Amino acid sequence: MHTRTVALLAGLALSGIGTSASAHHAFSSVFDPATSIDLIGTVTKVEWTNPHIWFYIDVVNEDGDVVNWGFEMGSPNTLVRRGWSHDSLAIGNVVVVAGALARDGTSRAAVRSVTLQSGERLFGGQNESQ
Amino acid sequence: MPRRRTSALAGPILTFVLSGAVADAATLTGNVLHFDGSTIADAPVRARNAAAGIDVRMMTTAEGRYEFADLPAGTYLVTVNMECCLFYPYVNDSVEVPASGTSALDIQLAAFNVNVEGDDPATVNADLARQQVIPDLPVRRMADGKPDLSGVWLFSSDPYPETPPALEWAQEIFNERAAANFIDVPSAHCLPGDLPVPGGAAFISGFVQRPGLLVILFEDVGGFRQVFLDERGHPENLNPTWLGHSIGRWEGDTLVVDTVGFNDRGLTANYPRTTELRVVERYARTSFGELEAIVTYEDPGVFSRPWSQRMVWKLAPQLDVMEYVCENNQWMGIRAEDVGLAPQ
Repeated sequence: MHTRTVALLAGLALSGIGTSASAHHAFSSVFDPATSIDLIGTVTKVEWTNPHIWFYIDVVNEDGDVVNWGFEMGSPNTLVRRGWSHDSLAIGNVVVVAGALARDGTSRAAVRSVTLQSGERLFGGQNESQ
Repeated sequence: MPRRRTSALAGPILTFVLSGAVADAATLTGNVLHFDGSTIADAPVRARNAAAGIDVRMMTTAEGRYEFADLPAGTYLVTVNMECCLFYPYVNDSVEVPASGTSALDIQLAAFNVNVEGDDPATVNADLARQQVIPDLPVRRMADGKPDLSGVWLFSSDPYPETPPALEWAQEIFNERAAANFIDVPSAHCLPGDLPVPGGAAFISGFVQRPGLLVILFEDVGGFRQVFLDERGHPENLNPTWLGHSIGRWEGDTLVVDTVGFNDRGLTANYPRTTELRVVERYARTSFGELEAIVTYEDPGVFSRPWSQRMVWKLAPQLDVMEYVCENNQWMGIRAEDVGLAPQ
């Protein structure tokens, strides 16, 4: 049963995805949903742009070197509606970011959540932001 | 710090429990579960048995439970299609229902896409819908008595989607595209999506209706569609475009929009399309706060017959359509093999 169901997932089931609204790109095509990473660092740049916003943080790795990581989130329009604004993240903020790693091995990740040093999660949705 | 590890193909949990036989018909019941193990409310569950002529559907309860009673014995196709894109659609074509008693089938959905902050339609739409305050008003009407479809609408997909009846060549292309996680869709190149609401960028659209014209605004490349309501026909030798040429007429209180003149560079639900594509949208404002959209796609070079989606969109009076200029897609032009996804 299990094997059969998985095999079906590869074919028939995906037809259902085809009839759904597609985003600007399927995040799973460039990020691996099976991965998780948590990083803490200092915001160095915010690109408040469509189709998706990007922000960058400097992370000190185990060797003491600083690595600049890039993070992708949704579109500004959607984020604004979820309580974010163009100045929610400021250069110099220290944040903890949870995300999924880029498939190409670069220092990039898709954002699942952004948390301030205080432990407050930034605008995970209306329920959490109020 | 919440930390979630998931498997892209986490297996569904299947359990069958037979209880005492008391009747000639059986019950199929169970829970729909998130890949993290929690239950999912409002999950659209559908059970079909073509041989017995059965096609039943229901949304799970607040506790994530579904139940279909009075089912004749047989082998059932059970499907769950959540709003794109957090979960893989669930398909199981070998659910055995005995002649009597209760069968339990718990369905755990597998992770499909990354639940990216601000991008998952299911999460975003559910949150936005909760924020809206819908006035208790009758449907507004235009001076000619026709319904006024104007408003900002929250897009949602067909919860019980039909599998597009693709011809073999089109299905092969679709399968390759699926194996590459849809990396090459037009939107990945900042090009428009497909009808009825291109892109699904921020998952809303704005209808602006005036005598003789309906303008549909959306947050994707192109930004607007015009539906001419002034009884004109389609021009001869149409200029092929991404979004086509749309004319509308009323059938009672339903607006029927006919669109042709597409180029063959876009897609229909991620399937290829030809310049012969015709899309017919039927819009009915069933209440002040709801718009029913039934959309039929006809493209004889791609599909063996026309097929449709039925959607119900919620009014979102507290939202505005915003500017959308696609300027910073870092993945533009990336190929499947660049990220280790070889088409199969």
